[in-house]
Amino acid sequence: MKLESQSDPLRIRRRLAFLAGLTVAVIGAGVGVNLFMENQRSDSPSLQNGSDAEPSLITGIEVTDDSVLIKIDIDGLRPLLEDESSYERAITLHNVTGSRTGTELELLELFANAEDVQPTRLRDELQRAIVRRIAKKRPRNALDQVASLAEVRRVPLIDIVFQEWSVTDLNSSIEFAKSIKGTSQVAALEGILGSRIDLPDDARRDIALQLGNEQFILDQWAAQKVQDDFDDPSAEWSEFLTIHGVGFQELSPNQISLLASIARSWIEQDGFGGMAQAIGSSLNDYDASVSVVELLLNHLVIHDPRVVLEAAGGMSSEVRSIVVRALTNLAKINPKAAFEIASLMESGGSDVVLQRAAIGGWIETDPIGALESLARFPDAFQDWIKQRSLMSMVRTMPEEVPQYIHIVSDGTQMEIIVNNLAINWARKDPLAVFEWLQSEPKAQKWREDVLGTVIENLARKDPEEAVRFALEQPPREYDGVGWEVLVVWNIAHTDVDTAVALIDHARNEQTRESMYRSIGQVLINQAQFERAMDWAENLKEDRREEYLERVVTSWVWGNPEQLYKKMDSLPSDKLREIAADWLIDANVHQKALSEDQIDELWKHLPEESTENQ
Amino acid sequence: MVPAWLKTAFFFLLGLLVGVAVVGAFSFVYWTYIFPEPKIATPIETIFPEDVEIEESESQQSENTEQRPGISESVYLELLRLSQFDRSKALHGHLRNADLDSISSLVEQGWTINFLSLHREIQEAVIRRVAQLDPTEALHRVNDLSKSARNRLTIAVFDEWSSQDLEEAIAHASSLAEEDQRSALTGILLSRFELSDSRRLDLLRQLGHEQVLMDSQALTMAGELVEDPASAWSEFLVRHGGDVASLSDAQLVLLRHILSSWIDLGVTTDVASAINSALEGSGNESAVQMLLETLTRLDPSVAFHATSSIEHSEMRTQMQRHIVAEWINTDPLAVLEGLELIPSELQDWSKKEALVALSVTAPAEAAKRLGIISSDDAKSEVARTIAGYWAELNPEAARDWVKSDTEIQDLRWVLMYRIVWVVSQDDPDKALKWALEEPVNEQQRGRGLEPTVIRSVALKGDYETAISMAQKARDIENLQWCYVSIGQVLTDRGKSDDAWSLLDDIPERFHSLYWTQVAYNWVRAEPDAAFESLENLPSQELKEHVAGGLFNHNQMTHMFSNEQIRSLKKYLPEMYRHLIE
Repeated sequence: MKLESQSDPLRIRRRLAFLAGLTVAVIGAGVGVNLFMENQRSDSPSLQNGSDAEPSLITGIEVTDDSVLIKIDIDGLRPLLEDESSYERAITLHNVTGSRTGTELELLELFANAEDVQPTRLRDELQRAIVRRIAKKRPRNALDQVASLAEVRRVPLIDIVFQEWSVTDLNSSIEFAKSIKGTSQVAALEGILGSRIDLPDDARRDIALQLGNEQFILDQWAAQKVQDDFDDPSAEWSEFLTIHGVGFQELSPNQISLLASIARSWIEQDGFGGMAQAIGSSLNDYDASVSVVELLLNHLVIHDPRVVLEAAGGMSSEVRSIVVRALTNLAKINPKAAFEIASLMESGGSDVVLQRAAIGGWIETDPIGALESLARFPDAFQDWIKQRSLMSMVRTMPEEVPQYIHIVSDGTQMEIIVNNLAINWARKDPLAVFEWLQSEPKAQKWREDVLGTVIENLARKDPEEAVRFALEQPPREYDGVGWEVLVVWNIAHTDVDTAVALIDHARNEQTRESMYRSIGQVLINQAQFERAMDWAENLKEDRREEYLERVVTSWVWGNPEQLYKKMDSLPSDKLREIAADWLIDANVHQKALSEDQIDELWKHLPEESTENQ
Repeated sequence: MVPAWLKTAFFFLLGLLVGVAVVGAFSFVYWTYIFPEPKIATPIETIFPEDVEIEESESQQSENTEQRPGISESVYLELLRLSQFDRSKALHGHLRNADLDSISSLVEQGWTINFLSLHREIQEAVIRRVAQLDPTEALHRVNDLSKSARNRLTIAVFDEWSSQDLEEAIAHASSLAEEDQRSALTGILLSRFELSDSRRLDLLRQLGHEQVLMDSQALTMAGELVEDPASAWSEFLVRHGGDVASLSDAQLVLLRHILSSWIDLGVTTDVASAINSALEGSGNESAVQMLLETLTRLDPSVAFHATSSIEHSEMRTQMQRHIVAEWINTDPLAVLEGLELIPSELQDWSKKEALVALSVTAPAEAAKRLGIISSDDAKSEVARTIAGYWAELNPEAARDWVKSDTEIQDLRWVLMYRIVWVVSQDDPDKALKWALEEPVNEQQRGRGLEPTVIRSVALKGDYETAISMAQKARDIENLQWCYVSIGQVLTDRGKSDDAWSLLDDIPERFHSLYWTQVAYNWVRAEPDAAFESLENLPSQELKEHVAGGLFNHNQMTHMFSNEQIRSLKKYLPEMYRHLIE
């Protein structure tokens, strides 16, 4: 017993010693191992962190009450960046900014303090590297940091933020991108799609749509696709329609490049006509077909205008009409291209319509240019070019026409041009037209037509002046009536009473009578039939009957119901007969009168007519 | 005999050992399996394991070989998980020590990779490495690429080249075509940021591309704060000129930056003097317009005030017109409600333009205000515009307006014409119904609106429907006009045979009208086809029409030879044959 009691304290002591050793080991070793492991991991090289081999960017950090000033070792940085391309500098700066830069707060301060770095190129590259670091963990903070910068600096930084953000949290990056606008949103989209190339096409397009910029992804696809070889252009065309749609007027340069590339392959295989035929059939929309052919011609002709010559042969009439329309449109927007095409075509060639389409649109856009290039065209084109150019100028710049009119030798051409010139020019400046008429011997043959146009337009501007002017001119050659009748005629359309007052200015009785007839005709034209009937009193008796007949027959079409009611007040049986006859005939189409009313009208017709009822 | 204390120490040490062993075992399990270190080793080791760097791995025997030759799927997947920059960095690291031979095959593979944008990124990384080893070889490889790819990669080549040997890069750049030269210079300037402005200018002058430097400087300035916008603007005009159309994109960026700074700073009192001094120089009008447009978006009254001191009255009016145009573009309703701001000589024009703009989005509002237009011509133009846009948004309301507004009854026909035309684009049946409900045009001898609808349907290429709908015309005369509309479209589009076949459906007494109208279109659209077909036309009357049309057409176009014109003589009516000698 004594032995057991004597051994217990020893055993207890040994146990306590063992436990003490165990405890010390657990605590000591545990703390030591954990500290070691954490240090080990924070110092390990990684994609996110910089390399230990790169020196630190920071020479010192001063913390004051108000701010943290981070001193950037630019002098130490420069040697690292010498002899590096911009691409390698970006990687170096990325590594440097990851090396012992401390907390995120310090990164933010580093960004602000980098503002003073020179040159500005280096400043921008450094800030991009810093923003990339921040964006990996705190993208919104990164965006806040760049918000106050000018757009030209801000936008690339936003792109960078979203490149990183979209990898760590795609959905959040998209949601935030929706809240920003303009070029910033485009930059965000570019960043997201630039990084997330792992997403399927549908997902990428959906992101672009969510950010209201589907065109962005379409452009990317087009830019990528354009480098392909197109073994089956028809299939590529179908795919193009599926992806890019049929809004050919709104295609971007990238999309047009792609379309042109497909077209070049297609033309090599099937010729321009074959391609145009297939396009027309697939679209089944004439205007869309014209748009795409025009677009292709515009793009292709820069490289090889002869493609249009190939288009001339073997096309169906329907496809040819598409090509003609497209060529006409093209010539208006790209006169140089049109000229290139035209200069390759020979006169008397098989497709004269295509020739005219190529040149005609150009003439409309630049008639003076066409006239000045006249000598470069075959003789057979020249008359047409002269006339077409001058007629275009007549519409758009009539005052320029006189200096070119001498080139016209054909009498019919001259007549057309002179008369149209007078009409268009006189609207702007009737007296200028008169002055030209006085001085242009080639226009004398049509003097009276031109003078009439001048006076009509003068009358619209200033009736009194027009009358004075008209009285200064000799009377009309063909009927001896004074030109002032034209003034009255014009005024009567808007103000009959004023026109009537001007009758007193008539130079002679013949002119006065003509004025009365003119006013009467205006009343008829304006469907003032009752007043027109009363006006007959102003006319000479030998003119009265013919005038009244004209009133009645016009009244039939203008207001048959009113005429029917006024039948009994018509001044003669003959007029009633004419009115009834015309009303019955016209009612087949007009259906203005009832059967009973028609029956009443028959009573005004002679018996032999009634037998044929 | 072992002392007791030694035995105690022994057990203490034993406890220590056991403790260390336990901690060691537990730590091993914890740090290896429970909380392992993230696998973010160096790019090369993780993304591009050496054993699958270039050679085709055994796993590349599948159909995917064509898409991803030479780079294993795991590599692709790793690359795709990274951000764009990290991918670039990984590729750069992978290629850093590769020589030309070893990357040659990767170059070929890079060209065939068809996995989204990865092709482009790998392409650039490869080209950059090739450029570091042999820049002329790199240029040779990019020559056959598309224009946009070639521009981008030429910049990359010269970025690399000039960082290694500036003079050699410059010398080679001078031998390139102009567009490639611009890309080369861009690459050089990107790379050599430390070059002084004078050295840059010398370099660019040497190659005749000073504009590149101007653009670069403009972009740099566009990134800086503008403290004195008026001075910055004046300097801009001196340095770059004020002809906006001739400014480069970079110069426009700078100009817009100056203008927006001007607005942000709210310093508008000196705008008037800045404008006046700008206009004293020549060619600055468009820049002044741009300034005024920017001011207008802020406050039109400020913009007007800024022009009030322009001495030359025509110039002042021109600038004020631009202000109004921009104001209308921004808020046409505000223009109509703020007419007192606009000089009197511009008011009529402003009202018209503002109403036209308003009719696009708020035609009902525009219609309410139509009475402010005094000129009949302008009123007619605006009313037609309103009708057209309103018909697109709410055709019923547009129609109700036309039918009920007493001020526009003299325009009813043309307005309903416009409405019916618009409606017929999407709902020809409704359009036809409305057309038939509308009275005929007295001034056009009973013509209704149904031919308008029929023409619209024909223009869409649906000729059968057009013919079918034409049968609903209110009377024979309008039926004939419907057929004429169809015939005209057919001949315009090269389907003259189909146009003539319609004659079978038209009463004979209307054939003459049909021939006259349709033949005119045919001769204009296909004069050569009309000439060739003359002998085979179905009737003498039609031949006469066509021959006469060809003769008249030739008066304007001189398309046919004298002999060809003489051959027309026999087809013409007797009374006209004397016109052909």
